[in-house]
Amino acid sequence: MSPDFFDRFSRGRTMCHRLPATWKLGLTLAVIVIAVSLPFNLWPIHGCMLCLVFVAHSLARIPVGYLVRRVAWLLPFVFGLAASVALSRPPVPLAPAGGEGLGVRGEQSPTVSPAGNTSRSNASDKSNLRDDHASPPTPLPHGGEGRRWSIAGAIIVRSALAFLAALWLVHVTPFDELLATLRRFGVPVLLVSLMSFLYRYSFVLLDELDKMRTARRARSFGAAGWSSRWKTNGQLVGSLLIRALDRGERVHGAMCARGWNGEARYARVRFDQE
Amino acid sequence: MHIADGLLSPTVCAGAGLLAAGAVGVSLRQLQNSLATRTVPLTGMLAALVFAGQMVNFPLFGANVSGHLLGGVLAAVILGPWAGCLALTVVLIVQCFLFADGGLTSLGANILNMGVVGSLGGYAVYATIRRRVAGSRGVIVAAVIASWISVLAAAALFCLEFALSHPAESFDLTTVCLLMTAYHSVIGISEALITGLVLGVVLAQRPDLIHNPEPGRGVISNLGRAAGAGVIVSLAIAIFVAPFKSENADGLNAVASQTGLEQLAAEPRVFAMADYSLVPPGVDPASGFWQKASVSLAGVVGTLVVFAIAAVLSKLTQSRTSRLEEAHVS
Repeated sequence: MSPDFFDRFSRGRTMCHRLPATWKLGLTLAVIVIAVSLPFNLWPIHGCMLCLVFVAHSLARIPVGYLVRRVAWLLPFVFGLAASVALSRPPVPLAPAGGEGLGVRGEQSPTVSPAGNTSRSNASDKSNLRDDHASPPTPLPHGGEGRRWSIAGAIIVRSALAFLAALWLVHVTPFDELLATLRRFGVPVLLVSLMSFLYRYSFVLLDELDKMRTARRARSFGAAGWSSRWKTNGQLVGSLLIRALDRGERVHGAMCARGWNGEARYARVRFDQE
Repeated sequence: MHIADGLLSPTVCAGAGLLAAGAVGVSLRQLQNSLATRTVPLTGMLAALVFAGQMVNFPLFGANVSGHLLGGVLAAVILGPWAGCLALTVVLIVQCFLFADGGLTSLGANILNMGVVGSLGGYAVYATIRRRVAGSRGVIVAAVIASWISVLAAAALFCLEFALSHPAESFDLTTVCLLMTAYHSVIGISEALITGLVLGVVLAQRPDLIHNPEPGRGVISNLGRAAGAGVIVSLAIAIFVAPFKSENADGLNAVASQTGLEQLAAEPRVFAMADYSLVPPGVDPASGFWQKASVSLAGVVGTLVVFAIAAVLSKLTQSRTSRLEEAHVS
């Protein structure tokens, strides 16, 4: 496991890295909350925010290729959900009068937000339902293709924007600073000390996992079958679990030897040294 | 599995966050009240283990798609429900802040779905089953079934949150349920299998590490456990029945779901991860009833598969542990 596995970009020295962590956390939270709660008919604002986030990323010297790869990994789940939302409405029939006009108007229509226009679309949909009982293939009156896909688009753009903002935060703030900030924001000490435990020992456990994998590779030849890979992977995680709990016992013994009495007091001392 | 930002509305996020914060607060209180000081380092270590264990990829179907451990039930079985819930919570928070996995605003919903339902709910199911089946066999059977049910319950809870955060007319719950069920049946089976395999190793080598539920803490705790198990199981069942229900409830027209589903079936990428809707040959796949029935059928088949996994794994573990004991005696 490479030593900078977690903090690959966050130990930099750019302008963004030097901002106080409290500001960065607040700024990111503000961007995400605005992005999620703003109705999507104000999409120029979303566009501007996307540009701003990109500028922030480039100020922090985070490579674009890396960002693209991360967003591509986010998309399957979000895309699947967005597509299922969009496709679950009836398509506009192929009648010459309907399809295209509605589609184009729907793209630019201001009433595209899924959350913003509840009451109006409720009313119009009620009438639509009655229509449907009379003649099933009638499409939705307002909307059609454009509306369906703009809901999907809203989901995708919002998620991508919020994701990029969160990515910026985690890549310009080292994790220990983030923990100190969380502590200042009122997260319970016990939770923060559990997090610092996780952060400290995940390196150790990942190293151990790597060693065990190397040992397995050294002892087995060629590609294994499906079932044996499941079995060996299960044994891998199982023995890692046993080793981890043993190590936990030893660490606990060492902590007790240094005067630990169950209160995570060390957290405060350590974090205030920042 | 992680819910990204922008999928749920701010109110739903806030509500889920409050619920999750309450559950985590209760767990923290329980952990502080427990007399053993060692639970804190052990919980942190277990969280690190779940975190590292998620890096181990288990192959699914082919070489390209792989699943990994979620760990809710595993953590609860090893350290008890409260510590397990905290371990999962910490893992989710760290994943959010280190890798931006799962959104900041939907962090509460993620903790509720995976941490609270996965550990507390999964443990309720586990403990209820374990009291009926004795010995190491009970541990495996109960854990396998509980992890399958907890994954489905999390999926059902996500459908509920999604339905609450968007106006009903902008999407069709049936399709979302279909997608989530298809996806999570596979995830659930792999989770059940991984949990069973890992616990098999632990039982064979260090059975003392498994947390023993305190017997007879009174009627109230047993009742609470049974109630929790009931809620989780009914959530898991609901996701298979939801396609039928949603049509009757608010009359989302069958035409919509049919035509939508036809397009969905024509788009192979959406279902490439989980080609799981079982349509008998000779039946028109677009006919609405079969689409819905296939979800429930998938549920039945999935349940059977999980029971088979539980039976086989418990038998294997039993033979292995008895062999170990014989070796010790002789």
